[in-house]
Amino acid sequence: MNVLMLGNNLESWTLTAALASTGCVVHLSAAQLPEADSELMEPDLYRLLLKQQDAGRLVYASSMAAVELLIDARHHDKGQHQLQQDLLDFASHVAALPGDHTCVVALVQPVPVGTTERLQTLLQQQGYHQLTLVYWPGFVQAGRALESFTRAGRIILGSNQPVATRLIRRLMSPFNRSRDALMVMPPKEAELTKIAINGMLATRVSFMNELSELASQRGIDIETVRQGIGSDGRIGHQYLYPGCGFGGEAFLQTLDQLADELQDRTGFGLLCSVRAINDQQKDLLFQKLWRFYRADLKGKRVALWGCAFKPNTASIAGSPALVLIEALLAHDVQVQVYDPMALPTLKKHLGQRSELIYASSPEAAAESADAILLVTEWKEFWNLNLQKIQSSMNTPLLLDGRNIYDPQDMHHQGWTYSGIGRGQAI
Amino acid sequence: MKKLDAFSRLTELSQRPLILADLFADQPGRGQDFSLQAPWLRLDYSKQRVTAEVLAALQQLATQAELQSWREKLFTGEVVNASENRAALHTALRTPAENQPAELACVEEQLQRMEQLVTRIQSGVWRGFSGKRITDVVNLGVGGSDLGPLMVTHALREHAQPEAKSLRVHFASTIDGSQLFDLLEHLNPETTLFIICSKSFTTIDTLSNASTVRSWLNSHCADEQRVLRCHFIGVSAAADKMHAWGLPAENQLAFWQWVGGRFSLWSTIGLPIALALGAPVFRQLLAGAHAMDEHFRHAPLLQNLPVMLGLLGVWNVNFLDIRAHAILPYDGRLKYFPSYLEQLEMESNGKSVSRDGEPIDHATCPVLWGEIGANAQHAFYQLLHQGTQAVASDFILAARRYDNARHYAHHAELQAQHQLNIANCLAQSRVLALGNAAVEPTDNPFRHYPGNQPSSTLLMESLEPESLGALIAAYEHKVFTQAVIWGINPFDQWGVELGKQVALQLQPLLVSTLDEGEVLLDSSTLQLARYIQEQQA
Repeated sequence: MNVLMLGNNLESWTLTAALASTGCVVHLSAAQLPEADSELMEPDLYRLLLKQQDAGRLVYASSMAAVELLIDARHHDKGQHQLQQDLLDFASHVAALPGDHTCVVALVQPVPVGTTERLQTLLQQQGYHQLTLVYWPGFVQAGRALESFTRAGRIILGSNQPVATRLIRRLMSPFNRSRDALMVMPPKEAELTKIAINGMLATRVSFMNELSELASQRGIDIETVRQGIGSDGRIGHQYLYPGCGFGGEAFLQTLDQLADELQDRTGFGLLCSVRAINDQQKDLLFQKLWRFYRADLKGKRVALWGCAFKPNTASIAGSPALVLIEALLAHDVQVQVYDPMALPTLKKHLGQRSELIYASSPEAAAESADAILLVTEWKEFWNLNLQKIQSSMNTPLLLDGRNIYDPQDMHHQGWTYSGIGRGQAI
Repeated sequence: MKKLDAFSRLTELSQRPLILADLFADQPGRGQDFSLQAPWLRLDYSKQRVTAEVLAALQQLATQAELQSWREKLFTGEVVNASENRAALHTALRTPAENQPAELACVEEQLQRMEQLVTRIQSGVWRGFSGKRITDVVNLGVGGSDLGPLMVTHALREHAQPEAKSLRVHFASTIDGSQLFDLLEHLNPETTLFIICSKSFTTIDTLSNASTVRSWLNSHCADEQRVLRCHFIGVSAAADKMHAWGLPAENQLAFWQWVGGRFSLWSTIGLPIALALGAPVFRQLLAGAHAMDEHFRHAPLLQNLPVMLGLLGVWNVNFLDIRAHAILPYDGRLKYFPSYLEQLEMESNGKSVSRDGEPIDHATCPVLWGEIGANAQHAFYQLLHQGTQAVASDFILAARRYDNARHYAHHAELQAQHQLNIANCLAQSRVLALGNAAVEPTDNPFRHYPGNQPSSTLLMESLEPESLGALIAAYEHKVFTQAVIWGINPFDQWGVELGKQVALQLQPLLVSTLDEGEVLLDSSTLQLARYIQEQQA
């Protein structure tokens, strides 16, 4: 099958790699592969893309081609003027092709609810009957992009047209074998499903964060409570981790989109609180530091462990680290940040700032520090020699934003250890 | 004033009948003839009971009172406040930095310090004791430290910049703590910042509010130093007193002895304005006022809007014996403008001794009050139209409104309301001036409108930071113009001192057995105090 892929982001490259690996020729709007260490890339994804490139199944810098499927993986602004114009251009291109060429167009990014049907109507009004639009939301997760697409628990497809449904079903059949995971529904329902899923996940996390605040005030260990809650079969254990705030470009965008749809102007809606709690969590480690040092942070030195918004990604989009770094620098605190993958992205984002040091290891970051702020739960942080690290620090203060250490152990080691809803309340 | 040559001429002119209906009938182009344009502001004074002869004589009166040289003294920083031996350089507060003389570089320096604080607070860098960002700011101040900032903040709310919108700015002034009592009920101590505004930093009203707040904060955070550092900013001309209260230097903003309290909103006292609306909006306000300063300084007297307002006021008070003046803004956003002007005019010119301390033999400031015009129509306009008091009025109106609301579905309705408001404003000044002559005559005595109540109309293109700045500055200079003609000092306020002293004297007596009061107090105060003690027992 010939596929045209618009976009240059994690979704577009993941779909490109997966589909090419099943024999599709993918024409790309992108001019070339991103660098291997780009925030858009993950190691297994990059290897698979190279393989497809060698096999000649990737065609770069191609904007129009005689394809059976166009996938638009670009993010569009609210007005979607660009998308609309591109669709009309593409429709006129397809109409000019010899024979009765038809094409399915799949939108994969979150869109305002009703977009797919609106655009289909627009095309018909303009006399273009060659294009069939579907809404086919990607559920690509940063950190396990390829796997999340090829081993998705379900495939949601918003389609009113049997011909388009058949095409996507065929396309996805290599990844949809053990049981049929394809759920077909009208586009509007699919559009809302896509953004509502993230809304629900975010709600669970913010709820846990709200509980963890209570836990820290009452001397309760939220970790025990989390396990108790998760043991209820109706709830389950997923997305119940309290922490110093969730991020991620796609995740936050879908939340914005959902907020737009809900149009909560009172500010008292559930999603408003969900987002407000998350903003507070992103700032929480700074607030604890502020309290610990009694509002006098000038000249202090702080280690930031992790700046990626979650492990196994180089992306810092919406990461609490960004909030923390700005707050710390604004109060004349020297920040020594370490991250195994995301430092280049952070450097690109913040540039050289006096008082901001990019450290080469967690140990180097903690050298002479007045506190460690743990932001990302990278695996390599779990079993470090914390005693040695402590001895190199000015003050043995560890503010754990991901609850990866045991409060009792830490206490015995001489740390002032404060997690999210566990450890010492600061 | 009575010794000036023009005074007798004016007295003579005032004896002739001056009926507005006749004046309009005799002078077809009167509306056009008796209007003038200043920066951001247009004045129509054709509904005042004046003729070209009267205006010429008023001009002479101003000249003979040496208005021009006093005006120069004001702008050049000479001592115009003799009883306190001070200049009154509020005009310097809005002079652009590039035109500022070196000795006044402190103005721009404090303005920039204020802007830095504003940025820190609005952007969330400034933190409360628990490390949270500031969400609410409460201005603690009274008089000039309250009325000006409150008035401007309310008037320009629509112009608030996006970065300012996350902050809620409140005002608490009353000595009884009532406003604070309400506010503290729903404010979060972790995220509330208090600005203590007092030129002397001894104002008991403000400091008693500050002390209540301090106690409230301490009940949530025992660390006194942290509370002071994280929750208070002081704005004062008395740095030593701010230190003594416990404010660190970084939390202090200065202004100067040569800024009168009621002329101080242009100084760092404007901090709540900048916080609520954005520092650039505050700068625009200053720019509008500066444009009016330049106009006042250079325009010929009868083309000079503040001077004209002043002369008309003198004519009404001293020659037509009109002792009441109503301020009637036809704009809900100017709700606090009348109370702002009450202070500006009555505290400045409510005097009965000359600059040298001699008793004076003529009237000075009239009683001044006001309300949003269209609301006042349902309150005190009855008295204006059919009462027995002569009242002069200022109508204030913006021609354009709701340009910023075009995207609303109800924009057309809002526009219609604005038109209705304009129609009411023009109708009221017309009926006040012409009375029955404005409509069909009637012999029903209850429907008799005598008219001939004078008014001015101040028209803005729209209410912007600049036009508001110009409007306020125009009234400031009107006040100064009148003070010069009346021969009084508008920049002191000795009249408010005695009451403060006596209150201090009474305060301990109220909690004592009142035996001492028997000797010290009059029987009225004594029996009031006794009754209160009984109720409190």
